Amino acid sequence: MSDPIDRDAAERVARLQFASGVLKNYGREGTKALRKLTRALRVIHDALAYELMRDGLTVFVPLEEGSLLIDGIRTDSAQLPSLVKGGATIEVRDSNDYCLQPTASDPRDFADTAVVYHFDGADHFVIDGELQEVINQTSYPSVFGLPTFYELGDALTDYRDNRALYSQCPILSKCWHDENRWLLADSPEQYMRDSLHDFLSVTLRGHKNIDIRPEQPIDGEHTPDIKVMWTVTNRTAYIEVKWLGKSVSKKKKLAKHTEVRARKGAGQLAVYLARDQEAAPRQQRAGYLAVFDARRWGVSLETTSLKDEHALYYETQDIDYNPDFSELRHDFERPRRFFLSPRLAPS
Amino acid sequence: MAGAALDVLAITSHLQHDAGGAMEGEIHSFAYLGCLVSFYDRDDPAWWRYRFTATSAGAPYAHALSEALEALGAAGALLPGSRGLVLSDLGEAQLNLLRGSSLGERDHYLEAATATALMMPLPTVPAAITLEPQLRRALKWSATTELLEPDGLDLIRKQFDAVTKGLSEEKIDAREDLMVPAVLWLSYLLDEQQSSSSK
Repeated sequence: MSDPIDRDAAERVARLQFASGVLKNYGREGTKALRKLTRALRVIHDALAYELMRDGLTVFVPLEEGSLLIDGIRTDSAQLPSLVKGGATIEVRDSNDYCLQPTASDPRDFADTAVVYHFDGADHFVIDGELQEVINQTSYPSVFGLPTFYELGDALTDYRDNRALYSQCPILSKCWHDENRWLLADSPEQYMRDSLHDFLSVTLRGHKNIDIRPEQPIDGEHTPDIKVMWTVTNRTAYIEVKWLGKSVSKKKKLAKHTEVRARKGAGQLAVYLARDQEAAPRQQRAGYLAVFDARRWGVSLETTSLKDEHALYYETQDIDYNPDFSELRHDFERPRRFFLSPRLAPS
Repeated sequence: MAGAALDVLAITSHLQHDAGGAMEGEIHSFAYLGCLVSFYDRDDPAWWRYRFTATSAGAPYAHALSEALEALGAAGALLPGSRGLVLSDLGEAQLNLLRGSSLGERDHYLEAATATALMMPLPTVPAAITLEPQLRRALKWSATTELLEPDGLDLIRKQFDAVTKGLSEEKIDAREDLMVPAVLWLSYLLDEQQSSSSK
């Protein structure tokens, strides 16, 4: 009979999981300090954008409560963005009470008497005197900087503003044909769908399962791209993903999707919701249309320059849905448009 | 049942402190994780006092917790907040009372379970728990099944032993802080799933 345990996975996890390393190096005092440190990291990462941390961020909690390891500016999370430029060393003293040196430092210098975290594009802890990278099963730079949401609608709003707008998500950033973000690559929808799925999986609380649905219609019926199911309740949400703009095929041909595409997506979703209601009348369902809008005015394969007002022409142009299913159906939520901003020339 | 009431209040209190509140599904998931951690520590599945089932959707569920949630809500000990359920002053007082009783030891396991959400994104913890072998089986068969059966517990015990083997070899007792074996086990389930889906 084969071994039911994946020994490689067990060994890998035991070696690389930082909580285990902290317990090994510092004992119970260390894991107590680790709780305080990870609570602080969420607040600090929320306050400081990754891009502000070019020179590295070191955050630590002394093992001995009350001991002070650095002299610096006494501050809180609200002041951090104005004080930190490029790199920082932060001693966590209490909840939202920090001592800041606004310069980078060698994180190993503090590891004799503190549990130490370091960020330089990825999360690390100092274990056995060396920097050890944190297992990160998300596609984001830090597992500690992610927001969490109670409502799907709030998560979609945050995704629009903080992931999609400037294509900050590493999966979504692959959907572009060019660095200026004027034209989309071939089959961009897979990156859009995967990016949204990845974001919801790690930020949406209370979900049981978030599935990417098969791309091909089954039994002639179009299934929405993403299905979200919650634990305990019988709520299910369906998300239909559509994109607008121009994409470049592998044969260098342009494919153009106008707002007609968004209206068609709304119709498909409404039909699906109606059929699902008949099939499972006791289920509470909600349908979301997520439209990734990469439209630019007057762009073609030959375009070498584009005025900002043309690149941003569609930024505030909402789509006119007629019929408006969010008015007609109680389970059809207001469609969400994620405008994908171009890279603008420095002014 | 007082054990389930303490579990609901303690999990809500921990998640309220770290995440602004607790969702009903999270209470079932973290209580199940606490139960498994107590089993790892004590090797006595009956110690937890109430049973869990796997819903056909592959999530852990305890009827005792649902009843406690309803009773505590009706009594005003739990209130709906913008980020899930939170404790009222009455809820805080009830929790303190229960923590001081013979049931207080349960919170040792619940704290370890909820502290795992400080080590990984909170939504990842309930998602990882659904990868537990008994829950995965329930999802595969789309059937409600009893959890904590001897075969299932035996496999979970083996998984905990495998992930804490390295610490044991260095003469470090993983029970010194039960958050550590709990987070190692969850990371193992996620890693195992990731490796099997990439094959």
